[in-house]
Amino acid sequence: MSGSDRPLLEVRELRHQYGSHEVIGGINLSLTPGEFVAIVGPSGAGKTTLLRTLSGLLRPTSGDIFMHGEKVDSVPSELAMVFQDYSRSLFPWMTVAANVNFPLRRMRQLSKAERAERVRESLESVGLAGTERKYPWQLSGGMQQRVAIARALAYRPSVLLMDEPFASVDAQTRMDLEDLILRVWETHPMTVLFVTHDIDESVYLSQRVLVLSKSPTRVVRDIAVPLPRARDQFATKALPEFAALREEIAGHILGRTT
Amino acid sequence: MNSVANRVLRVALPLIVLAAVIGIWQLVTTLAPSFFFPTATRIGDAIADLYFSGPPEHFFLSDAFFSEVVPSLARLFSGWALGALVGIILGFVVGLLPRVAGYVDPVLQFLRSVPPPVIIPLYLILFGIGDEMKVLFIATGVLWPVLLNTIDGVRNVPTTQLDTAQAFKIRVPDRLLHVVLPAALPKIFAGLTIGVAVAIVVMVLSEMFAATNGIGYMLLQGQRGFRFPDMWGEVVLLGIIGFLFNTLLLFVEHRVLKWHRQSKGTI
Amino acid sequence: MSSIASSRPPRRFVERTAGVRRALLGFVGAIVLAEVAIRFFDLGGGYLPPITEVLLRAATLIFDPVFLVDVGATLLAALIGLVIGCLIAIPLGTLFGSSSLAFTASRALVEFLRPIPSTALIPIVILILGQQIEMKVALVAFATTWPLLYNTIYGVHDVDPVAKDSARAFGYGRFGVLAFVVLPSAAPFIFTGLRFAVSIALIVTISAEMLAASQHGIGRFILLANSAGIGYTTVFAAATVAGLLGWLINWALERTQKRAFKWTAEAIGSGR
Repeated sequence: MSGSDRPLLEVRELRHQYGSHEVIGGINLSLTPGEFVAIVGPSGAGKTTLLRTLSGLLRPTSGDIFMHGEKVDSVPSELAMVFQDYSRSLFPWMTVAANVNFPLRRMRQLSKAERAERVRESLESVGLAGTERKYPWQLSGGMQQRVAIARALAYRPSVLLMDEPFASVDAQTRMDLEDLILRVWETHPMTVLFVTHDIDESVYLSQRVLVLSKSPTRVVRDIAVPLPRARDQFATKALPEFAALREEIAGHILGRTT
Repeated sequence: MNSVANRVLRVALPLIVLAAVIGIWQLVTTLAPSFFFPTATRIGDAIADLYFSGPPEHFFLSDAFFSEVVPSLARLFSGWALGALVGIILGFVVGLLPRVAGYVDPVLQFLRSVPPPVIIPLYLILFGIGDEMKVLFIATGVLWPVLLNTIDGVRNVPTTQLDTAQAFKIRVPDRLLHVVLPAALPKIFAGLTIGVAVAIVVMVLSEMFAATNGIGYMLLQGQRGFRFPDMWGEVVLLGIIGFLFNTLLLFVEHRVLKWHRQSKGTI
Repeated sequence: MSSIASSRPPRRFVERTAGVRRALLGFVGAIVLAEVAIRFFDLGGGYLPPITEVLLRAATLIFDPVFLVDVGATLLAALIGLVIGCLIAIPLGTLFGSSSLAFTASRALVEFLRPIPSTALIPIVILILGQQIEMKVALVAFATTWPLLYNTIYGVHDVDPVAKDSARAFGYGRFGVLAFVVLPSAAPFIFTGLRFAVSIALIVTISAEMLAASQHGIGRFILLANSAGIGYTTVFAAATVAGLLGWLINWALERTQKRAFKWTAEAIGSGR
């Protein structure tokens, strides 16, 4: 199954209900290998629910998910997730190295040396070389989220799901982390699905923005981001195309009443 | 699961569980009779005969109820209340003087590690064999969890709250009442709850040494006569007393903490 | 902006022993107070021996082989009972805490049975099992099961769902999540239950020894010394040693808890 334009991840008519309340009202999307796609929508739009169904944590009421053309029933093994709340998703009783190694523990085909090498390499690519023996609570918020990213990287996923990962850090750290994830994406071949409520962030990071409606959530708009591949926090955001995209997306999110 | 079914379950489930426990005991003891483990019905009969066979004017409470259970309850409550009172007051004093912590804490830790049964001889000497001794003994047992939890609660008032009070020049007595006390209350209640369990354990103990009445005394009497239904009956009675005492405390705790949570919000 | 907590530099000897010095001062102060109260204010009406005498007797007791045998007997019974309590309560508690239906049901069960004081069962168990170690072990096993069960159920139930999700998202199944996330996360609270259970174990064992005619045990020693009328100094000395023992055990457990679970305090400290 080669060909970079063949859908890697496909979602068809995904619906989810909590009791009688329909949160997701029919989502269709497809991702090709190596894409960076942002999902943006108003709060309460079921963004987290969508990610939970994709990652296998939640079984959708109806609809299908396909990876490489094959239907997915449980947790797909090529997917890794970075949660918003790093202090709760990293394990405080484990060192940084143990945390990053955690997904690799189950992979019997890797030797101990190979795992250690992956851990070292992942930490290095997020700029945390040498922190193996520290504990997460000894690190700042931004650094903890980097550990979470390193943990996902070590897994070598083909799809990286990120659930508002930078919402809990301050603005400056957020800029650092945004550029970090772009660097990581450049150097590691994978598809990134990045959920955020921050419109600027969605445009800055991605090649494509999926705009969601309020619940019952649907994909309202699939907007291509034709900005140059190299992004800069100030130069890119000063471009007129950036402002136009921001305005278009904001209009869809704020203008919608249903 | 929708919320109505949820709430019904939450109320009904404890009762179902209780019925199940009694039912299983009855079943097992009927199918495999044992002198040591009488059936639930026999235990129930024993309790009824002992304490609930009185005249209707007395709510069917028998004389034995008034001469055995009531004194036990009186000692239990007064001992608990005394221990709680002293524990909270002392706890505030020690907790509010952070400098004395290094000197006082180790001594307190030692004193509370002394197992209550070994101080019975001491208390018998100091206070005789009457009710005072038992009440003081119970109070001593209750003192430690309440004291230590109060100290902990008072010491761990969030500094932002204390700083705010100071910045607004709130007088010390008001600070104690409206900042320190509410912040410490959850820990204090935790101590009081442990105190209930300790009080019951210790009360029974105190009535098994040098006592002429009380539930503990009745237990020993039952033991001398090999009357298992009576003994198990006392045990069940104690369980009920403990459960009711706990529930009462929990009820008070909910009310008080809710009130203080609201008052905290206005500061 | 990045804050890596550095390892503490070794503190000077004076600083490190400050805690011990204050504790000693506190004890000396308490002893002096008690001594004065007994000798000059006649606390205890002449029946209470001076603290200094009690402490001297306690010092000799610690090396008395007869007493040590009794101490050993109490500790043995308490330990075996405690282990049995752990073996029952922790697996059961894990099971009950893992399912929300079992959680609600077991809460009800524990709330009804927990208030039963284990001391009340002493007379019954003495008749059933006799007066020796089997009786003590059974009582301790029963008494320690409840706090351990309670804490295990709640500890397991209150594990952060985000932590569990993180493991599940990486493909860990129920057993993996249990072993690598739930149990480590619940361990501190279970350990707190263990500490409480230890103190209960000692209370129950010594009480049982005092109420039965046990062959060995601290309770038996105190009972005999009391009735022998040889002066209360020995009785109080034994009580003091029992207190020291309990204190030592408490202190050891607290240190172990702080070390093994330093991540809980730190996690709270970092504003979780």
